[in-house]
Amino acid sequence: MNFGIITLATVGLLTSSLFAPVCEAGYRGYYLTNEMLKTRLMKEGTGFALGIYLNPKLATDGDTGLSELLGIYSGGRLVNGEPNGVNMLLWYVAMSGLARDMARICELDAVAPPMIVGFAKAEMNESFSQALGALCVAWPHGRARTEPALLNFWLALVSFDAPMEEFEVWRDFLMSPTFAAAPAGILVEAAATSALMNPGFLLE
Amino acid sequence: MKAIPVAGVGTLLLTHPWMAFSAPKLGPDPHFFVQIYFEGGMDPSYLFDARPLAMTQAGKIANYLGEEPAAWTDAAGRTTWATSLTDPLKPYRDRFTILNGVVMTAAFDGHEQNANYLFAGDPFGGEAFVPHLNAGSGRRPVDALQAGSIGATLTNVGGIVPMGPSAAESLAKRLREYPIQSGDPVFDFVKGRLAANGRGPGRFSSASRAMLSGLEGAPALAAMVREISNLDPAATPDRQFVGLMLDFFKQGVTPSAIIRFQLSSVLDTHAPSDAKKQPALNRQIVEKIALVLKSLSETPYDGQRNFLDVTTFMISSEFGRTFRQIGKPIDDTGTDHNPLCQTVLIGGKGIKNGMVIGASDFQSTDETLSPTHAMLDAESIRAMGRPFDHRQFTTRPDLPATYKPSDYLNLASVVNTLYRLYNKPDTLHRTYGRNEPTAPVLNGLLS
Repeated sequence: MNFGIITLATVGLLTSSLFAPVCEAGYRGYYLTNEMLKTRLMKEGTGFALGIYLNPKLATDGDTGLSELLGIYSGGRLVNGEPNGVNMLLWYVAMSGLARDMARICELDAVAPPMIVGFAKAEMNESFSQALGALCVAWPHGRARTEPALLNFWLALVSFDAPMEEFEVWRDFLMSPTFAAAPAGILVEAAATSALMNPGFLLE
Repeated sequence: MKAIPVAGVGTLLLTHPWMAFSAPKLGPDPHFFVQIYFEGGMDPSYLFDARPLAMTQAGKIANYLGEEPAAWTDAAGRTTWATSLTDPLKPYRDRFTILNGVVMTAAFDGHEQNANYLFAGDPFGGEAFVPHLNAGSGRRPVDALQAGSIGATLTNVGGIVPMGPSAAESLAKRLREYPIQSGDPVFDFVKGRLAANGRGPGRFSSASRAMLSGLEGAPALAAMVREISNLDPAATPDRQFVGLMLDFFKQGVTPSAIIRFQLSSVLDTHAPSDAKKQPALNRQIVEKIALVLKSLSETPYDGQRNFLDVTTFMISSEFGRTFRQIGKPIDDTGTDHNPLCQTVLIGGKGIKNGMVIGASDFQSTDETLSPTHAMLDAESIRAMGRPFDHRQFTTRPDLPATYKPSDYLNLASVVNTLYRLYNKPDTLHRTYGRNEPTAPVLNGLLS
């Protein structure tokens, strides 16, 4: 850098800038969301990778980069963390895949296409296992179609990351006629997908 | 790659699986945009702004190619010196225009500041121009497909997706197995919660609205992406990405791509050992540009047009490079940053192609440089853009005494020309800086 450029640079620093960077709200990002799910769903010491629902060959082929599109921290900044068409599609694919796995646990005897199985029943922690089991065993009858059973499931997944008003709307949706006679697997898949796609859970 | 006519269909089918023709989804007047960015500071003297060997023999400019450049002359007789490294681009010489002597931000010579200036028009960052081009009616689900990371501070890049070919293929497979459909009660419930959470002024609401917008487009996007199925494992990563880009264009996923190609070593050749790789690096640069132009030109959009006919492209770096470094022998010197001069290639749809516009100074050892040049380059180790008459669309012979950005062909004018091409409002047009005038549109570039 020569003297002339240094001089102009000084002026430039004093007179900048045309645009002010804007700080937008974004996702928690892939790794934090994955960690939250792992802690809430799995036994301690058990591995969990949400990315398997984007790429079933994750374990053998490695990450193709899809997980990174859900937001990663790089250089102290969240990259790809702003919601857009692609990452919403990816979140929906990932969360509905996970929800399908949960439903599969309810439907062990059901005929279904081969599933990914990101986690197995034996790997779930006690708290989540109970919450899921209550719905699996009894829906749409008996104790399962009650607020406490649904609240347990909601808290097991979302905890208090979303306000209770969100739970109430979610509860009413699941108690609606749509799911009144639905098999437990259908209910669990719907309940998990709709809870995990809540902005309170996904957004920082 | 060879085009094979398909009898009775009136379209072309290409042998490369990525290039297989599918019905265009962006209507009768499509407009795609490709920005190719070579990070690190491209040296124009190895491509379209070369210097005679006599200047190297006089110790003015390093030249590790060691050959005399040849004249590259346009139909109007405007000439620049080009090296043989540009030969692979000769078949496309009527499909792009060379802009020489393009000044970046003369106030800074850092990578990030000039990358910010390139992408956002401000050395400190801001909104990238590519999403601006796409804004408005008919906006697609993704603003741009991106290859490689971009070292710039940009604020409106949520819709620019850095997705690689293997990621796209993996997603396509998942979507074929588990399609996403609107009308599903769960899908609609999630949309409803996003809408409810999006009612408000805060950042959370704003992000919820962005999530809703993304989710609303998800079924259509999923339908587009699941058609992507032809990743050629034998192709190079560059070729795979260009194939993915064309598939995204065809499927209507995005109208734009920003490509930062990887080279075999750094383009930021401060070290003499790196500078000596310039011939090899520029050979790669030209190969990559030619790959994009060839792929676009050999891929039919419809029965009459190929993708090069319906795509505008711009190729640049964040700045050029100095001729040499002080205190180093001319045959063992690196090169430093030069924001006072770079070459930009612009072409395709809407551009008057085949021209050589603008020029840099310091073309010979005995050339008298302007007082402005002397002020900005006291050591005489840089080229600078020649003063430019924006009205006559030609260089000026005068030697300005003081630096005024409006005297030169500035990158801001190139971007403003793209804005005009896309009929964007003048309020978007870049100025030369705070309290500086708006950079004029290069009307002579528009066809």
